[in-house]
Amino acid sequence: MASSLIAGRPARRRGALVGLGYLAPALLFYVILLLVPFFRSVYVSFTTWDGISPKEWVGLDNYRSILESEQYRDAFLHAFVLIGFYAFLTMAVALVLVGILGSTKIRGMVVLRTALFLPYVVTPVVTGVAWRWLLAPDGPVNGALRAVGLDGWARAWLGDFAWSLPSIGMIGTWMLLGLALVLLIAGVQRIPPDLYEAARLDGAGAVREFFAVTLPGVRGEVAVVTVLSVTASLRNFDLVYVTTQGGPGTSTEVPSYLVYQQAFFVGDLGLAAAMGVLLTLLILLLTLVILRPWRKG
Amino acid sequence: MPKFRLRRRFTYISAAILAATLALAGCGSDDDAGAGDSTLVVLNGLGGSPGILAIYEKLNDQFESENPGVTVDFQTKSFDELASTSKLQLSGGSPPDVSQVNRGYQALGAFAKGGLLTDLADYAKQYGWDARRSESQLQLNRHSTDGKLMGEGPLWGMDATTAWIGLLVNTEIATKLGIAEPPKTIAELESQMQKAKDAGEIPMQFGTGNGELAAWLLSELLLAQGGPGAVQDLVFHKGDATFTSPTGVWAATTMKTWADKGFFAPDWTAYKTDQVIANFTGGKGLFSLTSSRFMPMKGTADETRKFSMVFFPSVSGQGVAAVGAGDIPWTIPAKAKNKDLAAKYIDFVTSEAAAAQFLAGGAIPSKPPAGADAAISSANLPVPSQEAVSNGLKLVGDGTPVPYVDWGAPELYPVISSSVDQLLAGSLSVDDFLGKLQEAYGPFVKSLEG
Repeated sequence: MASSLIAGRPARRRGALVGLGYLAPALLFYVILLLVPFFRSVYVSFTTWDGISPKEWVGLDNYRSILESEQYRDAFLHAFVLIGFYAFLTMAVALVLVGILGSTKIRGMVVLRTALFLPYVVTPVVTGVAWRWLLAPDGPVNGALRAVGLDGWARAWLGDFAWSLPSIGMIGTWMLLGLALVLLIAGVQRIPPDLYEAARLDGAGAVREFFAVTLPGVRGEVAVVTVLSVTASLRNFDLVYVTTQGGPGTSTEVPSYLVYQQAFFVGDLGLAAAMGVLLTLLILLLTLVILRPWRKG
Repeated sequence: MPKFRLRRRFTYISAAILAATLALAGCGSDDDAGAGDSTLVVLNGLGGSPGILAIYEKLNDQFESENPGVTVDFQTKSFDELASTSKLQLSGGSPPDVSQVNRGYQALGAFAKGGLLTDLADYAKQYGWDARRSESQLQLNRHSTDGKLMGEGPLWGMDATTAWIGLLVNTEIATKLGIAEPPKTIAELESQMQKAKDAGEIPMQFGTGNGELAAWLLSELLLAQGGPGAVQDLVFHKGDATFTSPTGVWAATTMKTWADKGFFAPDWTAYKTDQVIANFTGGKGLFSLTSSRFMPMKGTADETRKFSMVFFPSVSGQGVAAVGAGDIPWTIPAKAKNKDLAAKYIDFVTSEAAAAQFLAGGAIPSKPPAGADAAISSANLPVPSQEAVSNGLKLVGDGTPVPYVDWGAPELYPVISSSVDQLLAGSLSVDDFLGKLQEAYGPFVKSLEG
């Protein structure tokens, strides 16, 4: 007994070393490309720095000025509005569609799936340019509204103080819906058919069936989609940059756009880094909250 | 079978390693290129100005043939891209030999302070650059070595061409409305805009989608009321200048009044500069604001004949002044390997011979060459371009080019961009608007003094 323990320890340690050896290349890249820059950003966020001159330690000043500024607080607020669109609206629409699509057999599913997935594959910059054209004051969207007599509804969507943020939200929903659908449909197809059969034998209608079988069956996918879309809405930069650049006024300014503006145009890297760190923490926190119920299960 | 596959994979891997080694060797050989055969890396931010780029292409060919063995590697970026990457480029180990560098305390000023650029004093003396430009032109390329003062200290760059901001007029609409002359005073401009409004035409094609036109209009209005000094003092931090001055109040109030009277194009919050130009070219609007660097206008000579580019009016109607400045200046990075050749290149593109070629191509050289008027008429440019060039030369010759007011502090441009929207739409009062600008400006000025 004792001899086997003594012999076992080095063997296990060797096993761990071999494992670490396999991990080393990936770990090395992870540390160099992710952890080192991240901790450097954290350090920069406690300094004032123009990118060239020596850094000057200012403690929490950058964080204080972000939290004290109404403009920056509003930017975070806008990000939360976008979460409403990117995550919740996308999920709601996707679930309804899955409820309809999931239980019926559709011919040409592969084609449909590809078509649904396309918006997610197209780079957001292209999406933004296309939607900027679609939503222009004389663009097709307003043209269609006027054609059906809804002249009062036609407006400069991306230049409207009240509507520009929801417009960006809708573009994001359009972009992410395909991803959500494809993941959810894949989840539904994994649910054993006898569960549906059993539900039907018990006299469940379509709605009951959805809540009793489909939804519990895809909760893993729901978590993944929510995390992806919440993250996408918080680090949303490209869409805002291409469509509104934060305007009109400050109505579509979001944290990551302000990071870019501060870092590359104003040249205040300390403030930009602090903003980036706050954004990272927020994403981390939300991800943990979203995944919590699934952890337990 | 498996053995064969393994061998094939081995072949692929060795091929990849070989390719990588060759690539690395290639990089190495670049560095020790002999003095006879040298490559001059020139980085520019002219991506948005194809007309001027075409002229530079020609100039580069001439420079190469005048300097046998020299190859010019002309790298083009958009202005935004240049502005956002030059800090990294200049501080890296192998910067370009010649680079355009954006002006402003956070760009040229910060680079001068950080020791990233070469002081051009010796080259200026050697080549006589001082005589090629007026002091007000050179001033914009000067910064003190502590980065605190703009307009004073060593010369860090030389610009080859100039751009200015002016009023675009659609003369076809003007004639229809019975307007014979472009406005000389703000009062005339306002009455002409009212005339257009009453006739159902758009008085002023405008857009704040990207903030550029907002910054132009603010600069032009400050100039119109306060004269060149009002804008220069703000930019150079002289005489305790503030945005909350009577001139500032007048400029903001005027803008707001125009918005209230419906002088700006409908949906102006949605349009970026390119769309504003497209709308105006499409016949919408009696007036618009534009920069001469967007010349030539789209369309055939006949289609654009009806457009005219004139000076933005002033309150008094006296004097020739406009917001305008040399294009992004050419600088020599401190770590450039080939400084003498770089200086030779800058000398070449800012020479009188080059100026004549810029003129012939429809660009405005920073100093008019001899016989400029004849050159303009023989260049056969479309009407608006011709006016942009001849008025631009008048501005650098007899007038006062005034810097863009947003150069006064790094945060001014984004703040102007967002708060002009709010002022014109009524969510910010004139006082709050000016307060915001002052907040972006005052503390920065103070931080440099301290």
